[in-house]
Amino acid sequence: MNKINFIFAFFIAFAIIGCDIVEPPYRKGGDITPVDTTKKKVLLEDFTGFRCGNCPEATHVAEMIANQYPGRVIVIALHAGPLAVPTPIRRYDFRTQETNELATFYGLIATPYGLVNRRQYVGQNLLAPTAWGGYVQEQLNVDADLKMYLETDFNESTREISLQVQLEYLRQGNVNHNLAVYILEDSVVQYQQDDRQPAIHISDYVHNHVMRGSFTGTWGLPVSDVAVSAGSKLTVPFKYTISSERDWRPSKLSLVAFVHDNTTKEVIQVEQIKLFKE
Amino acid sequence: MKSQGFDAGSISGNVQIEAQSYTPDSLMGAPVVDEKILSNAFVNLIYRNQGVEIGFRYENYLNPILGFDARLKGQGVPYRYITYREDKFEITGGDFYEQFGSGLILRAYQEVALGIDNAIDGFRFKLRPVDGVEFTGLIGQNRVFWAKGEGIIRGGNLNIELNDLFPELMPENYRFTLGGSVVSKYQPDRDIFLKMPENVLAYSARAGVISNDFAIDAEYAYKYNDPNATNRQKYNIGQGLIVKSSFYGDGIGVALNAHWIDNMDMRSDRNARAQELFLNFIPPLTKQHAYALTSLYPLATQFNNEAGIQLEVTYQIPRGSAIGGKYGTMLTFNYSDVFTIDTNNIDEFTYNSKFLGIGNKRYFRDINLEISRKWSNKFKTDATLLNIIYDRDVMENEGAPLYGSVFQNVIVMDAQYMFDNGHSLRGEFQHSWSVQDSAIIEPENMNGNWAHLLVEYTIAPSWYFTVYDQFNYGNDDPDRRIHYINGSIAYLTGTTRLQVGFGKQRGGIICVGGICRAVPASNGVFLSLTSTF
Repeated sequence: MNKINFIFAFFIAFAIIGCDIVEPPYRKGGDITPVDTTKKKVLLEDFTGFRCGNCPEATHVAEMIANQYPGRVIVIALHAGPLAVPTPIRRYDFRTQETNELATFYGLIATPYGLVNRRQYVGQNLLAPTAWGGYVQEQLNVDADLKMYLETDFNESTREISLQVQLEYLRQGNVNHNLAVYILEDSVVQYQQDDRQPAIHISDYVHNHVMRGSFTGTWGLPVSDVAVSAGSKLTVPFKYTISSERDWRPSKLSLVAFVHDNTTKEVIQVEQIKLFKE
Repeated sequence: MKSQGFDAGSISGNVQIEAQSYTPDSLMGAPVVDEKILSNAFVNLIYRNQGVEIGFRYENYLNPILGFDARLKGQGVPYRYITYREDKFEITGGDFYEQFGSGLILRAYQEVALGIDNAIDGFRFKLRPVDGVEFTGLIGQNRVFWAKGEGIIRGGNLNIELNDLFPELMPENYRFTLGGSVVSKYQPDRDIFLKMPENVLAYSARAGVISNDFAIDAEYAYKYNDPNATNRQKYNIGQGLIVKSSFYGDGIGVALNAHWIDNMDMRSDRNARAQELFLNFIPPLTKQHAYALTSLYPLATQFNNEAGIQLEVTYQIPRGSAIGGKYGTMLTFNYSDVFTIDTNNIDEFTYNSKFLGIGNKRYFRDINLEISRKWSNKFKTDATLLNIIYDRDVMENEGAPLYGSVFQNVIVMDAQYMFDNGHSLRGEFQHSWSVQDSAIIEPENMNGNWAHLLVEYTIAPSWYFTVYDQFNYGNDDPDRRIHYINGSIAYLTGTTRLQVGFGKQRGGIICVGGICRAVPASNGVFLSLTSTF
């Protein structure tokens, strides 16, 4: 019977050590984090869909994170997955070739999920909204390998966008660095299902940072065919004409440029600029 | 074959491959598949010699069949283990499955048909110090696709068979069991907004008694604060109670099961959702329906909020009686009723919950009767009547008001005739009436009435020829009144089964044991091969 007593003692010991009880208040008193420009900026991509009732809450989480680290977190809404497919009743299609390619590449089967600098955390690329903040914070503490400076100009008559991307390498860069430029639009008023509301069908929901297209395709273009040495600066010019078929409003557009490692797809640095200065 | 006094041991295993080709059909909801063909396959191999067991499983998803998580894509050996066993002692290193009690706080399991595998990779020991006492201890991490979840699981379990431990004190006709478990998971707190408990503990206690004419067992579980993605970061405790009982009499059997569960969705990662990283399992209080139209609206257990009851009565009408006929008639009656629990929100992080309080919202009700009768040595029939209330919002949209509830009635007639030469013919006719209590805004591929006709010809013991037509003739959208016609041939030899089929399969929800996945419609050829060795 001593053995049994031993087992009970084991259980009790186990119960005492294996538990944390959190007392209110449950919120951490997080002050707005000061900006440290020697560290990376972070790309937070939010896979979303207009028929995804849990997605507005995820969008809210992304915006809260961006507000916590002003100017350091760049959010893109990627409309993709089964709940972004237009229906006979709601035909507006937010999806783009790029969002579909990203969804396929990362194995998206449901929304909301997110990517943080397109890194893997604990073996997974696709992260639940509750996990975004912690990994964003982790990435914000990583030293920047390069700095990016963007300049843009828009010709209203020809609808041509000019963009200059300047890369300043703080450390030696790899050969397999790609530069991608995405086009985002804010304040797109369209239908959204929002399960937080008593009436879940919101016909005039404001969709922000909507991925509209790219200058470079999903995976970007090679930065250089030789390794870039530390301290060197490169300037990459882009021109892009908005097709007349697009319903985009130039005053609501912004451009997101990022450099990523084309083998791991990990984002090394990211920067955003609005087409129209405010 | 001998070496150093060991014999060669034994090898066993099983293999399965399932492949499906896809032809897109926008009206039916069959999506475009770039690969045209998708396939899932695995092979299990176990080597046993004396007290040693070594096993592994190779898996291949290139690429996963639609409805399975796309993150399964790839191939490799995600499961391998070594076990050493003696009479009183057992240790396992590597991947293993385990269940404590009824699974209320720990069940690591695999469900091939759903692509679920939350095997624990770690270390486990079992100790049987005296007759009637078994202790299990384990530590490890859950599988998630091709990686391991972040959370570290520590667990202990004790099973006591009182009759074996104190044979002289116990009555002969009753067997008593007691048990207890603890599970604690650890995951670092990275949340930038909320304070997260890094160690979350759950424990459970259970007791049971079995005799010749009844069996009852009950398990209660308690979980400390566990804010997570599935409970919308609530800091409440979790509690669960499961009671199972059965009674047997002359020609009659009664099973009565009930459970009450509050905030018991346990995962080894607080951010896990959908079907990832389950730590526990709570079976649904429903009959597992086998006919196509009886499983259109399946119950999935709501691990965070559910109170339910299930009664099943089976009665064999005596043979030779007027109603029972020469061979006897079997009646099976099942009643399931599932509700919300009684809660109200206090604030963003907590809610009030009355233990065993039942809410006023019904998720699901299923009343069904099955009558099986053998008319002669050659002819038997099976009739099923089913009535279901199914809250589609709870089952398919986490409770937000999108669809309302569905009310369904089904009738199934199944008849089989055996010819003298080992051939047999079976036919099924099924009809489902269903209405939804809210407007159907978007055209969809599953609503309204269905008819289903199936014919199966068997040449014993090897060949099965099946053809069926499922017709959604009552769909709200006239364009979607589609015939899903499907044919298949199955060949069995020994422990090997090969099936090839062709046709349309409707989209819908497939459940195994109360865990469900949504499967899009498909149109094409499918192939399935299973074998054990």
